[in-house]
Amino acid sequence: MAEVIHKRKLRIRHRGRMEQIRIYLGKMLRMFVYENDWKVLPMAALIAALVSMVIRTKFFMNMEGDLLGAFSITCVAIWNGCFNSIQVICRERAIIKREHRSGMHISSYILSHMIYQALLCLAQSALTVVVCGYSGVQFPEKGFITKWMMVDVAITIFLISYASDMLSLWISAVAHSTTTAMTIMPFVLIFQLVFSGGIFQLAPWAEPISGLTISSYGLKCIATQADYNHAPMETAWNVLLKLKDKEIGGTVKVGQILDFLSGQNNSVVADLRAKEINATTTVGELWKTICSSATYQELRKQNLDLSAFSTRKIDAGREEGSSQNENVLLKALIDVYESVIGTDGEPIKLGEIIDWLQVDKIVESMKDQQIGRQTTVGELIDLLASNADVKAYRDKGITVKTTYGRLMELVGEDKVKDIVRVQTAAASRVPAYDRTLDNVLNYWFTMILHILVYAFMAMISLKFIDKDRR
Amino acid sequence: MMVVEVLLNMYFGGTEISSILRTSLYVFGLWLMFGKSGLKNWWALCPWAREYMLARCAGREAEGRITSITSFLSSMLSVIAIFVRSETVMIALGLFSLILIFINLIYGIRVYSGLTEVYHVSKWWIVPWIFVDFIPAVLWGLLKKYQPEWKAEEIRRTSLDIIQGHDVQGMEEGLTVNLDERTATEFFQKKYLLRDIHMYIQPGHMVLLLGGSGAGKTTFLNAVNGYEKAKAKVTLNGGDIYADYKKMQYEIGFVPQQELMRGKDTVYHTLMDASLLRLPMSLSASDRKARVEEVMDIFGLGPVKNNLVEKLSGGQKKRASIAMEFISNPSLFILDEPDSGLDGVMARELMEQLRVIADQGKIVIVITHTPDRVIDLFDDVIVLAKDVNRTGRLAYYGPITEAREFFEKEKMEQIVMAINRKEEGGEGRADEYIERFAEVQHG
Repeated sequence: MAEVIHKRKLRIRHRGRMEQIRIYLGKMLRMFVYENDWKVLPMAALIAALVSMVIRTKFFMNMEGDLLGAFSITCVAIWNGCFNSIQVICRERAIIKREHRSGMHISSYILSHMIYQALLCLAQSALTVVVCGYSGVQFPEKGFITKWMMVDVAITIFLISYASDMLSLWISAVAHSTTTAMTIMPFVLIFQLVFSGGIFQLAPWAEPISGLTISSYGLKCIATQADYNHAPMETAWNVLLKLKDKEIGGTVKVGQILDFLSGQNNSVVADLRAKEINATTTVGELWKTICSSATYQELRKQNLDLSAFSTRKIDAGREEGSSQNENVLLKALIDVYESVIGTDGEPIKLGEIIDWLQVDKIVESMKDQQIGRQTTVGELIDLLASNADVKAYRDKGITVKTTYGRLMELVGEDKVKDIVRVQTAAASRVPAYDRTLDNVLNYWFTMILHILVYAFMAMISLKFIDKDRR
Repeated sequence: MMVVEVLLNMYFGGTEISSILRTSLYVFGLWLMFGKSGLKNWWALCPWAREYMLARCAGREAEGRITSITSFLSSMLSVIAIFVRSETVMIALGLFSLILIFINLIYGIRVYSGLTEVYHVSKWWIVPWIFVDFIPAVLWGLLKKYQPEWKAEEIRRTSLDIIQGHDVQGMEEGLTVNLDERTATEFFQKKYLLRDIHMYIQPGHMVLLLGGSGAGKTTFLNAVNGYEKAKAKVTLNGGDIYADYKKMQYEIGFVPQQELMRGKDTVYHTLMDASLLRLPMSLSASDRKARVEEVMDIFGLGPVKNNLVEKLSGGQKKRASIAMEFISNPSLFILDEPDSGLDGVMARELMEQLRVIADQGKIVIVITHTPDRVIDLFDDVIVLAKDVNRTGRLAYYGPITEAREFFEKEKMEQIVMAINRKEEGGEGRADEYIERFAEVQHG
């Protein structure tokens, strides 16, 4: 009889996993209100506001801003995620053990946490993006995956914070007390931030470790969405501006000047060379006209500077830079610095050079040569360069002195700015930040994988709760 | 050559003559000390294991595990360092070694402190143990004046091993426990926590579980309710708890010592959630609610049902904790010190409620450290005691009156004193009672 009763009792069904998820979800929502879990939401908004104070004028504006913004937002998301769940299991470990003894399924418990934490992270991500937008971060209107960039970024923030949340949930499941969990926590945060790989240059051996962090994928994803590789770079230009008043000087050979003026590929020289001259006269007459003009007399008094030479070097840097991915700031500085050999000397006037070149003598030998057709400055330069007397002076050195600012003025400040910003940006291109659908989806997928792995590990770790002492 | 270097590093912690000499003297000293403590001398020759054995001499086994593991890891790092060429890796290894040395030092201090207590010497001996361990090791090993207070004997087989309780026949109703052994493995060492406990408890009985601290009371209850399985067969009303644990767990209510409830939840919600977890799905929502109301009435929780658990008084928390388990109307009700933290009146009131539950045909097993004030409410008593091997054994199970005769003690607390070890302030007669009760069981 007893056996029959017993068997009948065994047939009684209790609530299964799905039902228990509902029970625990209800419990957690009550805890949200009573246990002050709701505080994580205003906290997330506050953190977002603080961070956006720093990034609002830079994020989505230039390369540096994009990287800074991506790193800051990743940090915020990781911080939010970690603090959401670091204590949730360990603080009630003994209660969980009791409930497990009474028929609670660990999988239901973890799944209900997953759902609850997902809702929290979702709310936090939305808050973060809204607060950033409100604080002045200029999100581009058009998104890359969705219609709106804010939504794109919010999804990424959600995935970062949710993955961090699950990582902390795992730590919380392993740790037996809140003290232990909070001791482990800083190490996890530092590990995530240091090995994110964006701001900190990582050694080759550290690359695989970086691949294990959530921050690495989060940062890459945001940088990708911000179109880092197509943003201009400001650092090199800002350094140049700071060097504006720095004096530079050096010795230039006549041959270098002539070669430069003969160069066809340089856009500045090309413009000059293409300039047409209409005249029907002789070289002698032309020279006489030039000498008698007030402009020429004024020009003679001007100090000669290295503007053209420097421009050539910067332009050369463009070709090299596009083929190499190296430190842009250094490259720009080296380019400019190398253009000057570094010897100081008295400024020399254009008139002195012309006299020193004995242009009068040259003109005298060519004075009857007719210029009866339309010509260009380039042809005149080539004519000058091919002259035997001029060739004899090719190795003659001319000491000149100027400033970076004067050089930039001569070439045109805006033009230099464009060159520096665009070329240094091109040299700083990071393939991992290429704005492609593959990249973004790959990062999202990897973060989802992190979420699942950490949640699974949390579940496995908590399965051993019955081994706890007492 | 490299192999020799590796081996020297692993065994002596270095290749220099000084390291070899120092370690040799340390091993010699430990060889003698282990002999004094009743351990096998050759353990001194085993690197890493000797750290654990030294800790056993000091009665600090838990610390010994750490010192043993950290010294093993340190040795491994020193071996790895031989092969490493990268500066970065060397720095990392160095940092890790420093952490290990620090941990080893802290736990080493605990072990040495234990040694000074066992050898009855000044705490200042800790200093030479830290810096020149071979000197105290040799001195304490050689000189006769340094003798340990007690021996860290190997787990030895004693005459108590021959005591084998006979299996109790499983009954259709009530609780039958046939526990052969409950073991745990700690640091590769199998330990017997409980052995040979056989009993049958009738329905409607309220049973007192007595035992000194560490006798295995909670371990026994966890083995009985199936949460921590032992080598045993436990049946409740004909059902095998171990075989059908997933279903049978609802037949057992276990109330832990602490009030393990979420403080920020209300009493009503706590009990409602408990009912959802514990009651069958077939029960309608209204029936479930009615059951929650009924349990709240039984335990006097109605007036505070909307209060947060953390706002309840100590007695109310205890009652709420019991109510959580009682909600499923279990056949076996186990309570671990339900009266702790309660004054005499409240404790009595609580125990009377448990008596009422037992009178409904349930089995109620209670651990309490103040049994005498409520002893009239109990039917039987289980007495667990630590034998010479520190294994929990059954020293008595039967009616209260017979227990008084068996132990020749009037009060239950006197029984606990009788079975407690001398160093715990007891009479140290546990083995005597265990043997006597085994004889009684054998008839």
